[in-house]
Amino acid sequence: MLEVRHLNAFYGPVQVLHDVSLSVAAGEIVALVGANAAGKSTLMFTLAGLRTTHTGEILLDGVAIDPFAAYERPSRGLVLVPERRRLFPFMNVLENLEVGAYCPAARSVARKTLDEVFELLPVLAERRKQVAGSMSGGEQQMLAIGRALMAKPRVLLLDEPTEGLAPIYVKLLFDLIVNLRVKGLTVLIVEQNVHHVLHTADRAYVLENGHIVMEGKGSALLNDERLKTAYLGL
Amino acid sequence: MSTLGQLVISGILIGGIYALMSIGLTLIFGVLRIVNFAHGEFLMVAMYGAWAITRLLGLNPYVAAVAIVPAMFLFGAIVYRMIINPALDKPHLVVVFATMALSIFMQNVALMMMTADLMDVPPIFGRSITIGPIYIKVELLLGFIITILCTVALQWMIKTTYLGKAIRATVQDGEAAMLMGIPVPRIFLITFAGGSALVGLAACVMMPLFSVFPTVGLNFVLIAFVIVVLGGMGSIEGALLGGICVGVVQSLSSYYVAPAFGQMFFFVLFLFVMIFRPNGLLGQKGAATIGMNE
Repeated sequence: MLEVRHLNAFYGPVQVLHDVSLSVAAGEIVALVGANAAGKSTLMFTLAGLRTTHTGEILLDGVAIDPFAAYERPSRGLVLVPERRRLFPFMNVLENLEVGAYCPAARSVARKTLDEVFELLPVLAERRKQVAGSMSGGEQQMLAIGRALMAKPRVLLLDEPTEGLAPIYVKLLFDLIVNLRVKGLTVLIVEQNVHHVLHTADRAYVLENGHIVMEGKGSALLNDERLKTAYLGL
Repeated sequence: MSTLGQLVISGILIGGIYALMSIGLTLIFGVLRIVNFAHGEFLMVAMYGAWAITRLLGLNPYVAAVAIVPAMFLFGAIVYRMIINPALDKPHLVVVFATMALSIFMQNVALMMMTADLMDVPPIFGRSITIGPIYIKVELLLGFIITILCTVALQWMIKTTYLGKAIRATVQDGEAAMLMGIPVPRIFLITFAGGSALVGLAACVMMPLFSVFPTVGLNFVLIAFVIVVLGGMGSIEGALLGGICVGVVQSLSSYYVAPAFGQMFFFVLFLFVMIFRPNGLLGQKGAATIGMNE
């Protein structure tokens, strides 16, 4: 469904990603793990069409999405929930969700999608009039995912969704991700919480200094000695 | 007492018209975070347009707004595409100097084409409304009503429509807005063109009250800058309040001190507000970076 071929990404003269290739099949949860500054968020931003210059190909259902600007990608089914949520802090929950359905296709079914999001994330229904900036970190993360779901994505990109969250919200969030897969959504997730994410993901890639150095099933990587030493502290 | 009442009412009404001229400026600042130094010349062009329609077609300037407002929207869109957009990702001073250069260019083109003569239109209503001892010029009252309607409509649009929410999202986090599918470059263009269209409306309201000449924009752009900063940069209601304050201060000081001191006193008021309330009357802290008020 999502395929990245020989991707090199740059911030000015600095090359951050080196010949990265990966794929995510329909309905799969794929994790991307790696140390700080490995290039994980750069990869997510590049997929979403922001900030970097790059070479290589990004294909969604076999169609190259590189020519499309960042704001054109949600209508093609690719939506990023960025690191640190990036909500619209002065808007309330309902307004944030409505903005999520800005694309014409999503807007035409916004009311139905809103009901689905409220069913999936009841906390948002309870707090629909609350200003986003006044919510707790966990609630904000739920809102960020709810806002992305309003765009009716086929592939959801999650960048560090559990960062700074209380353990109860980490569990809720991974339950939610599994639930999204049941509903047929494809997920690519960048996560520092390696243990949790490898348990949840079908497959995973390990990124090191901008290179993919390992890939495999989540459960298999959990037992990999090198990964255990480098990321799990075992 | 009746003199004071007359001066206050006149000040409020003229302040409303000043506010209408300033709303476009504050809207553009609130969303794009740039100051358009050619704003006064946009007003001048639109006033000449209203004057031409009035003189050549025999219509009144209020009717001319039907043509001037969309024409100024288009003019704003062209200026945005050709001058503002290429300068947006460059250092801030580039936009400042680009709009200043545009201002000088437009003044000189107007001087060549229209000469320095003052041009005006005949009075439309001819007489004033009398409420007790207070006389109200109909053109001023109509202008004030148009300003109030415009402010309410703009607030309604920003709070309730998809376009308005997209504008607010862009102000709060442009990059996150793009991730949600909001075409931020188009939002910028619409905002700049919309701000220019509002100046067009202000020009049609002002034409029955003021003469037009190539540097007329300079007279009003200073007032508009004071109003925008006084009311709070990026605040539409602030522009209305700032406009009324400036109008009343100008009206009172022109009568009680001397007409020549009218502007001096609202600049003094402006200085006091900047010292004691630097974010303006209705502005939010850090408006220069945050942009439009919530």
